[in-house]
Amino acid sequence: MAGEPRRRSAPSCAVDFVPVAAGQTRGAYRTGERMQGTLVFYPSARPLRALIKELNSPAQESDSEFTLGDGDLLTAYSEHEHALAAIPWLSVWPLAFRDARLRRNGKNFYLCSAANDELALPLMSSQADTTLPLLAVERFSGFGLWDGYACRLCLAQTPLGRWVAE
Amino acid sequence: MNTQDLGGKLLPILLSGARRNSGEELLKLGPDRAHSLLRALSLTGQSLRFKRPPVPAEFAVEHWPRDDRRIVPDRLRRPILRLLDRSTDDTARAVALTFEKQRLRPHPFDLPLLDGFVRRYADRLGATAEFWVQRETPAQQARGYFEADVLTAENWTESSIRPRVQFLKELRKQDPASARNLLIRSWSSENPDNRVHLLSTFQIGLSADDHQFLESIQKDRAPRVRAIVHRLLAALSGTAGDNAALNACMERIQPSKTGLLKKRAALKLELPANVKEHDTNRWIHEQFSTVTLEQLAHACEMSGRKLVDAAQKDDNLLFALALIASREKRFDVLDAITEELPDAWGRMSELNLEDDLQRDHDETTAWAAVMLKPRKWIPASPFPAWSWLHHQVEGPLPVGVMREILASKAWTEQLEPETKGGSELVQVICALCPPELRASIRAQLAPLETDRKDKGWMLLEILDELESVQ
Repeated sequence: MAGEPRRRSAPSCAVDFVPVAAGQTRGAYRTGERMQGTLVFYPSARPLRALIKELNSPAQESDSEFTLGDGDLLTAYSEHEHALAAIPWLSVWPLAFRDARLRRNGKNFYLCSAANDELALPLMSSQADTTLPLLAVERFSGFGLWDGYACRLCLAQTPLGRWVAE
Repeated sequence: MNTQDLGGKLLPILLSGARRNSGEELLKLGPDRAHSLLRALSLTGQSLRFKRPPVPAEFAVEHWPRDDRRIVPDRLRRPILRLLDRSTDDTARAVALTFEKQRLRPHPFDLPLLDGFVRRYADRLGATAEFWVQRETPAQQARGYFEADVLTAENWTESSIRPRVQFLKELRKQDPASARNLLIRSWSSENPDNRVHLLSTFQIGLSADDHQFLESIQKDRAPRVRAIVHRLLAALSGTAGDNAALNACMERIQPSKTGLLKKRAALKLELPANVKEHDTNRWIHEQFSTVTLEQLAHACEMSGRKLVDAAQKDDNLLFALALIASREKRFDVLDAITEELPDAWGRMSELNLEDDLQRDHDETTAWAAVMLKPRKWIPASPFPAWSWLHHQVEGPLPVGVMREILASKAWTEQLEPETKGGSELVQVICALCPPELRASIRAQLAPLETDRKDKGWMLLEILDELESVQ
């Protein structure tokens, strides 16, 4: 969930006051929905967890692109390293990046910068089948979760449209 | 101490358990040994977390094929995924056929979610779908993904079988010798299924010039190919040659006279005593598979039309004639047969007949129009026959035929409130429904329970949307 706690947009993990999911949906919100509201972040050296203080508009589906910052994959990973230095017990960290691509070595998939192969983050093996079509895309912006060993790609914005992890 | 020291000096000590090294560097980290060890462990472990994952020495180069088909519009992606989730094969086939007709392809990101559908109908969904299906096939076994608007003598072997059959059929009409030479050149590299379909095109423009090639492949290792060769050679020899299969059939056909005032010929097919009732259709299919209508009529000393009249009282012989007439596209004779045997298509559905790629759209329409006589149905046709029919017709039925089906008792009984059942029949009837009658069938389905009509309705809507894509 993207919020604006201070001056720039930042990923956040809403932990409370999130509407309860009903029926067979996995969560209350679907990827791509937008709403206006106020988040209150738990104090932290790198604030991530937040409560929903108020919602000013209902969630509405939107096809417009996500705002994912201006940095590439290396920039996003560097932010993770800074966060890790500040919070040594950090587990999962969100990565928002531009100009990345998916590459393959054998059966292993890697998230790399489109410009070079300076950084290659292994993708979770469980995502191999679902991300395979992204191999045909030369560059995309996206969002993923890095746990120190593997990246779970959650979203890719490509010339063919939006790819969303199931 | 920096991270390099942690990794270079302390890590080996920690991993070896400090047995080989006294670990003096380690002991500097704390007031005593226990604190030093703990601190060394935590610092070294944490330093490893900053180590970036190694970059592989090389990456694969991706070769996704060029696909000129349009991607299905975004607004239809989710409805199609919902429709194909737990739908019948008839529904999936209807969607695939419409994709092919409209030159559409699934969105690449949906391929993993539609894996089963794409595997089954890849040859109708474009080059990307075919590449997806073969992605795990070793390179030397993978077929090239090629889809061109026009096949030529140079590229015809690179496409999938369906367009190749069409190409060869057209070439047989214009220049049978060139078509024959093309097939001779590629024959040894074709798999049995392809050989069956491609050889069947020789029904068009069959002449004595084909005799030599057919003789050379008489002993092909595939039984289906041998059957087609025998049939073609029998057609070439006409009534003059000796056909052992024909002789065997004639031994089973008993002539007689019928009628009180005016005697007329009657024929009856005597089945062997050891052929059980459930094997009857299969036996008839096997016995008459290499017999032509012309040969049979000549042997019985009557015309094809008179054959049907003579077989009027014998459903088994009528069925044999229906198989032959259907195979030879003698729709005039088939029309006469189905007047007497309206369930011929139901009996055909019990056989494992090959996909007939030889009929083009007009021929399929004509075949369906004469095979189906809803006004003459007495029992309700079994559900599997509808699926088989959709498989044969590969698209909607002619409007006239469908109108009769929608008015028939066999269908209207299914719409009664007290009739229970799943949604399978509704789905296949919706798949067979031409666009002109979709409004009628929607109205008929309206009173049904939601779980019976839901998938069928969704199918109709999606077909309407797909057909309106510009």
